[in-house]
Amino acid sequence: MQQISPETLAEKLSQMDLFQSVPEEMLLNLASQSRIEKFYPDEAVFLKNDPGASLYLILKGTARVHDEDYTVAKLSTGQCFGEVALLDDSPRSMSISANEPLLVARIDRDVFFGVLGEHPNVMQRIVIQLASSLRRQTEQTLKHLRQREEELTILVEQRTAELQRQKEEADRQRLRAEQSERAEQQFLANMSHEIRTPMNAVTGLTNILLHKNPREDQLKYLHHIREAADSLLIILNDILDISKIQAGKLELERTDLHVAHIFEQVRSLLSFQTEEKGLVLNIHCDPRIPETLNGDPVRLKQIVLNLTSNAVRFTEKGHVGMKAELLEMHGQSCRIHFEVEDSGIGMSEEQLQFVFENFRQATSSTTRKYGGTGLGLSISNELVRLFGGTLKVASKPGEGSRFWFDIAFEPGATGSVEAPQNAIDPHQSLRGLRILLAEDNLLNQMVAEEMLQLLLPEVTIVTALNGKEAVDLARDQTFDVILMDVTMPEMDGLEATTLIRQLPQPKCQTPVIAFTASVTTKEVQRCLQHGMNGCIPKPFKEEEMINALYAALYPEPSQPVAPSPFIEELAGGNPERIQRYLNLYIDSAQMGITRLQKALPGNDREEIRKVVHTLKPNFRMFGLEDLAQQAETIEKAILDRQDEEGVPLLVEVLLEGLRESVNKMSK
Amino acid sequence: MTDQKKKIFVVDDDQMFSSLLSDYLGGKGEFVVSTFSTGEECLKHLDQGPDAVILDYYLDSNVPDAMNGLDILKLIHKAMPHLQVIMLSSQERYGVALQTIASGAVSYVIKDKDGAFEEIVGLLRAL
Repeated sequence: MQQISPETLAEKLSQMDLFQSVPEEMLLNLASQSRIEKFYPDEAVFLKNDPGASLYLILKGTARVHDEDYTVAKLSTGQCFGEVALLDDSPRSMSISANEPLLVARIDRDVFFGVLGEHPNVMQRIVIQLASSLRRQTEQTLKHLRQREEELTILVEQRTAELQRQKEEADRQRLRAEQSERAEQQFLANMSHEIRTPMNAVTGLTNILLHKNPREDQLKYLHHIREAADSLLIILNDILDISKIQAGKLELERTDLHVAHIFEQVRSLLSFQTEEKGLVLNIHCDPRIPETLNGDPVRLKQIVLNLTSNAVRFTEKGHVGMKAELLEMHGQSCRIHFEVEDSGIGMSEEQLQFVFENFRQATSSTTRKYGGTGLGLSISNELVRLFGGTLKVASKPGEGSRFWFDIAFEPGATGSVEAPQNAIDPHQSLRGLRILLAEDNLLNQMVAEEMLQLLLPEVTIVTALNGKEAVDLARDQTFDVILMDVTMPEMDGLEATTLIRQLPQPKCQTPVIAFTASVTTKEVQRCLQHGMNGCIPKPFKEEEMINALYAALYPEPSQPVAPSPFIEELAGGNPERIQRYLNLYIDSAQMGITRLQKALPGNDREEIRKVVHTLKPNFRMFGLEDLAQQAETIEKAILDRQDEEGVPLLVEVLLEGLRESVNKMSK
Repeated sequence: MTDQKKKIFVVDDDQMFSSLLSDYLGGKGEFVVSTFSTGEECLKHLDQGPDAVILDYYLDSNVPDAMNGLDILKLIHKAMPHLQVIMLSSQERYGVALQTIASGAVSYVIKDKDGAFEEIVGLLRAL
């Protein structure tokens, strides 16, 4: 313990502001009655809210004044603290702790007053000193608090800026990812386009030559060319399918599906090969299977066709069988077991392990002997998985193979299988047509022209090399139908169709069929959204051409078409309800037209704003995103009082769009 | 489950929107929907004891001088403080949203946002 004499302590006390005017003998008296206390680093002298009635003088070391962890001030040798406690009984307002070994002298209240009470003059001076020290302390604390507040504000700003920066970085990365995904999709679409366009020429020209009475030997070569082109197309489609599946881009459609139909189509497609090989094709389709189911008929057919054509390919003699059996019914839903089996070459256990892998045939020699991309089974496997089933296989070398899978189906729309195609001969109904053909690729133009000449009696064909020419011709002449390539220089087919739809009646009604090499669902949707009536994928088949022409010229007595997936879903596919919604839209749009027309001359901003505000959500629900955007722009311009001069023009444009939408929905 | 269906009031002066919404909700099989083209009409029928009110913010677009949604909201709140009101608007404005929530709406749904109807169903189911 450190020894400090009362004389030394009195000497130190005399140096304090508080005791400056106190006579020496009184200080000595105080010093001899005070206690010396020692504290270790971080040890508290007292804590906030502790009771206390003592004054402390630091003899050695430093201490900190703090509130929890936050240090408000630092005290060093010669400074005192706790002097407020001499005057009142409130608990301590701050904590004091030692920073390093700390030595203090403690003077208790009763000692203090006991010694000083005998000298009122001295006491008065000291109380004044205490009061001013108290004021100083309060000011000091306030200053610290303000400083702290400023620090916190800066900290919050820094954190906010950092968060903002992180968010921007995340946005940038997301955007980059989206862009690269779009680029990938675009590449896929482009590749499909680039390969299909020349293929169109090959198959198209071959078909034309086949119609031109070729010599016997030429006929043989032409058939080979067509077969080769068809195989190439199959390979191309396989590659596109597998890339779509791998990118998670392949989605199943939900529409009516007829199992018996699909079996019949597969049988008819394979009949030539089975007959040629002398194989028996056994087909069993359980009659208890509901006629109409809900699912993707194209993809189901692809699976069955792939499995069955594989079976035919790998079977030299004997039979190939395909069957569908009803496993169970739950109300209208059911589970169906599909199976394809053959008496072909079969596979070893080792081969079976890899059978569903991409580009894998049982052995590479099978490729040479039997052909195929080796993608078919892995595509089928993935497609079955998309249908919610698992493709399974059992096989032994020399004893044939058996593939099977079970799929659950929801019931399809009520009503029986659609009636077979109308009895009218489409070739005859399409007699004497005037067709405008817009296609920039001269080779493709020739193919299409020749094919149409061959297929359609007394056809007249006028050609255009780009969209601009097509629009001019459509305006100046009259056509029964327009075949429009989508990708063309100067003006593409979509823009051209939009312009044709703005021509005066009845020219704006001329059916337009897109003539496109990109066959993604998105592309087809894009064509329809731009007012086209149908789509023929290139390279086209004669049948597809005839069907598309027929459908465009003799549309089904109109079943109302839902304008957006939202409305379709809301109406549950019920045509009457779709019609009701269309009528609601037409009423609302017509009301909008009337009110906007009335508001426009007087430039009644408030009225315009009200109308576009009401219409905006309706546009969105009916898939009219362009109109919704326009409405939003107008509303914003009025609300924010920006570009106000532009509002009447914007309203004119919107009115035009509204009228067009009413026309479209009325059809 | 024989839970009674929830009674929902839809108040919107745009007949098309209220028809679509009421069809959509009706199609879920768990709501009985009444539609009103003005707030005043809705107030008159509050004694039917709806479980929730879906209320458009702008109610004077088609009916001049009709009371606006915010005033109706306040009146509903006064008459039936515990009745849940979902506010609708086709405006994505923070101030408007805040105003309606401050006046007692349980939520604020942007009409023409994707999935607005699903959002409303979600809110109604959570009541």
